[in-house]
Amino acid sequence: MFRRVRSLGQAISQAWRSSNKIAYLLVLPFVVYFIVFYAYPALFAGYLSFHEWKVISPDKPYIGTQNYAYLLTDTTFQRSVVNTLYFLILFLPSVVIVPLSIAVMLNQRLRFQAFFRAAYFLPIVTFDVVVALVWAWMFADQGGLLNYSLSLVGLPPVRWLSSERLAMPAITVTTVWRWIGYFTLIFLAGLQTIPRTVYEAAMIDGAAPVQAFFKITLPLLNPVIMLAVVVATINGLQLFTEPYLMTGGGPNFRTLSVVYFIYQQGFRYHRMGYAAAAGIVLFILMLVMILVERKTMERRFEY
Amino acid sequence: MKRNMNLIVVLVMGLSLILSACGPKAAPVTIEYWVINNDPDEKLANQYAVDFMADHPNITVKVSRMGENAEETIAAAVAAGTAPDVVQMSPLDALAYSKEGALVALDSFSDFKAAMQAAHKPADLVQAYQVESHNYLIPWRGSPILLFYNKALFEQAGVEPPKSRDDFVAVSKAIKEKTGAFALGTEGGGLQPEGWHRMFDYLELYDNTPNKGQFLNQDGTKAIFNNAEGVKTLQVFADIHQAGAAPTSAVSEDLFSAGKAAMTFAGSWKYSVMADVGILKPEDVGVVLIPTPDGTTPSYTFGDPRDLAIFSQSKHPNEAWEFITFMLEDKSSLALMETTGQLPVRDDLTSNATFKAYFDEHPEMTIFADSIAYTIPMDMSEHIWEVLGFFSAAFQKACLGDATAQQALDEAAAQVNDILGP
Repeated sequence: MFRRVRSLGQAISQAWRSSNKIAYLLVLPFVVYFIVFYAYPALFAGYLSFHEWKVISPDKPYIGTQNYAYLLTDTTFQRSVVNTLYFLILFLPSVVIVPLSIAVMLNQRLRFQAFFRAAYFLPIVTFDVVVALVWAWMFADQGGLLNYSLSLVGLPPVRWLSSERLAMPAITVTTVWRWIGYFTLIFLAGLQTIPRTVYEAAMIDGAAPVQAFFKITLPLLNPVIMLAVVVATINGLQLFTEPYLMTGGGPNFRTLSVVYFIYQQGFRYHRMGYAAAAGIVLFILMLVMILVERKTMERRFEY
Repeated sequence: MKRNMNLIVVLVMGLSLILSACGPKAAPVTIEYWVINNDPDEKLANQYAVDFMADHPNITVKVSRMGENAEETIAAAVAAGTAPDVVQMSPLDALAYSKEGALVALDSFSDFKAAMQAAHKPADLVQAYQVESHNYLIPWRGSPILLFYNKALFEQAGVEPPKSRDDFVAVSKAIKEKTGAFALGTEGGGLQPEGWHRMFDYLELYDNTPNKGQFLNQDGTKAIFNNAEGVKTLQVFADIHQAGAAPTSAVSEDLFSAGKAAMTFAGSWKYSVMADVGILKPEDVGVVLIPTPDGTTPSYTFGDPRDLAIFSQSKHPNEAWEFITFMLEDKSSLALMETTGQLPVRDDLTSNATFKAYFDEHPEMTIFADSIAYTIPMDMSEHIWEVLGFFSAAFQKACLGDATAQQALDEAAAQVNDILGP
């Protein structure tokens, strides 16, 4: 046993001697950043979720799994989970289909291609608060751009943000618009890795453009689509800014997301242990969804 | 011998004096004062700091402006152990901090009572602020919320400012019908469900019911806002919204200051907001008391208080207290009015000679000063923000016509009772 430990120590020291120490130095800033801002808070949140902590109190009594048990019966939390999943159901297909369609168009030989690429990317570099406020004005019940447009063609106004049925779809439209540029760029990069020769061979064999899209583009783009779905899932489950600014979580809690719930519990009501437990549940939900997505979507195609 | 002794005593005393003069001075102390996120408050705080430091050369006052979400900023600072010495805080937030021992019991200072009397703090308010028989908060600044109205829109609609609840609904409908403008443009922008919005619409009318603005029973264990008084008050706002006289979704502009809404519930700070927007002048608007159920006085209202506290984390509580007592002095109260256009909470505003010139120059402030005595504190409950959250969702639901006022409030009351526990 002692010999094994010594040999392990020797192995580490040998590895250290033979390694590129400059490389360790270069990754050090990120490692420190990761530990301070990600790893430690995540571990602390896990610890807090088993404690009652009012943020402003120095005491953090251990309460076992009480926070988790209370979450199971908290109808507001349940509503926030349902809302977030509903948002994700609307959001995921939208941020794949719309940006992919745009990317396919931008991948053609177009005049002003550079302009269009920049224009589509613009929303993602626009501050999310500004985006939410502008869309809130467009969706406003009275004086909003959409209802004004409807009135011009003689249609009655629609309660976009104050209807329990339409508020979340309206928020989804805003969020999709903000993310279009980002996902378009990812898909565009993916499209440009597909060799033209594959399309040329298909054309010679008599394949129509639609067939080429479904038989060549989509399968070869699978890893990129999966990346987009995973990124969209992570971001979608963290929905906060849009409901916070556009609807305040209403009407009737219909746009209260899980992250908004966590924010309210932690910072408004000072129940940080409870908020941490909700955060852990969200993390598990995210992990499960990503694993399921990988399991169901991961395919390897080669031509 | 006696002469020698006298000489020795004189020498010793002289030496002592010289030594004490050359000896170490009191160590310089720095205290931090955090103010809420607006320009006039920051300007006033800096002015206070300069004036205070001139009289107290050993104490440095460092002023910091909190971000948009002051409550979150304070909570994070307390958790991190970096809380300031003195902070501006609302009584709703102070309650939880007091109970957790995060604030200094200010009545532990020997001159607390004298300071309250000298600053003319209303005795009943000081009493109402007590938590477990101690005062953790000094009533400092108030902005009684009154009803602002746009004179031109009222004239166009041919209506007079409302005195009763029924008048308020009738006037609102008439304004919408005859001018096309919104009758009510509440603070915070439109109909939104965050709890604080209700402090600037529902609460003012609710303060004038037998419930006296309380959402919970006296011991804070049960919701009472769904009783007949709460329902009648909510019905007023449901009628106004359903008549199209108030926006039913979030609005990003200040409708009243933009001249697009005829009324709003606001404090005297509204004048500076109007000046910023630049459309309405003070003479274009009128201010009246909050409509009461039958149109009679007295009319009560929400005081929108912003008070002062010292954190237990403070290393210099005595200096912090000294700074607070400075902020309560007459000349500091006058500076508060002149710089922020708001009022110190005092019961001598219209009788104290120090303030006479100010009120002569600003006659529009007299109605606010007179209303200080008619402000009602909100429920002293640790759960008040959650309560307001559930209540506010019900308010929105009833105003949108998605439920009756009674149904919406009953549902919210059940949710509130659930969190208050058995």
